[in-house]
Amino acid sequence: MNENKLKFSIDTERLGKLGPNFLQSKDGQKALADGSLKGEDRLFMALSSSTLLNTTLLLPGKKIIELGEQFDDAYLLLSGEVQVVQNDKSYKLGAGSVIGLSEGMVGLASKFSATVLTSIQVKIIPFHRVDAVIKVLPAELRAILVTIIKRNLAV
Amino acid sequence: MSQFKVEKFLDGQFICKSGDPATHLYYLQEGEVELLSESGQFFGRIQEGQSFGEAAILKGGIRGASVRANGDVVCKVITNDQATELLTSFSPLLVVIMEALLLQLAMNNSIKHT
Repeated sequence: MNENKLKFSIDTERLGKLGPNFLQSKDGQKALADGSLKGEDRLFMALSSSTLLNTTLLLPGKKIIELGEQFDDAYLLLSGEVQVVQNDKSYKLGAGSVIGLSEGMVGLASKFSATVLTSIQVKIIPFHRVDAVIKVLPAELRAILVTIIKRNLAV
Repeated sequence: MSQFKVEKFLDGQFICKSGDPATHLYYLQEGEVELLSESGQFFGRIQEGQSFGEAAILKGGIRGASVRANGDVVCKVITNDQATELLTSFSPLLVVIMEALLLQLAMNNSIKHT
């Protein structure tokens, strides 16, 4: 294990202070245009307020996924931290992290294990619902999704 | 996606530049494009049948890379609003899936570079 850094985390405290309607406001649009609000901040704000996904609490020690297992669901972390072990590396992921989505969409087994480190609140993305949507997409839209998935899996 | 504008770009022409407002997604119908970093350094190619600029579409903000035609290129050009409308017309969940995939990409890039 060569490191245990927090590799990704959205500043939820800062975003919380901006308020729920910030993105729709003139200030929000200006902040996006000038780069002071990053793309991932915008994505997190949109996803965390979505009513289409169920939210649940997972306690420390809970295994989210083991190396070599298939994903039944993907997870969006709203708060807390997860410990990830991949090959000889160990690192932490915080709010805004998306675990298992690209892998699960193409049926890949997990290349890492992930365990809840501090209590986490997550949005759950169930693959049976994802698959139902993907089935009806025209080829060009599916190609756009595949492009993003390939980039995710190549990183 | 037949309702979207089709644009042609000549060999060497810039389709979008790093630092531009990210207002469009491109679906590459014919040809190949090159990706250039902010400093103009080549770092990848995108082939026919693939898309580019899709991160910008739902993330908003500014482009992080330039895209240049490598040979003559034909693209379908989709505005941010058209894309969101298109995705929502299939299922509101599709917007969520796309946003979550893009957030996963931001996470993976951060893992790689941190």
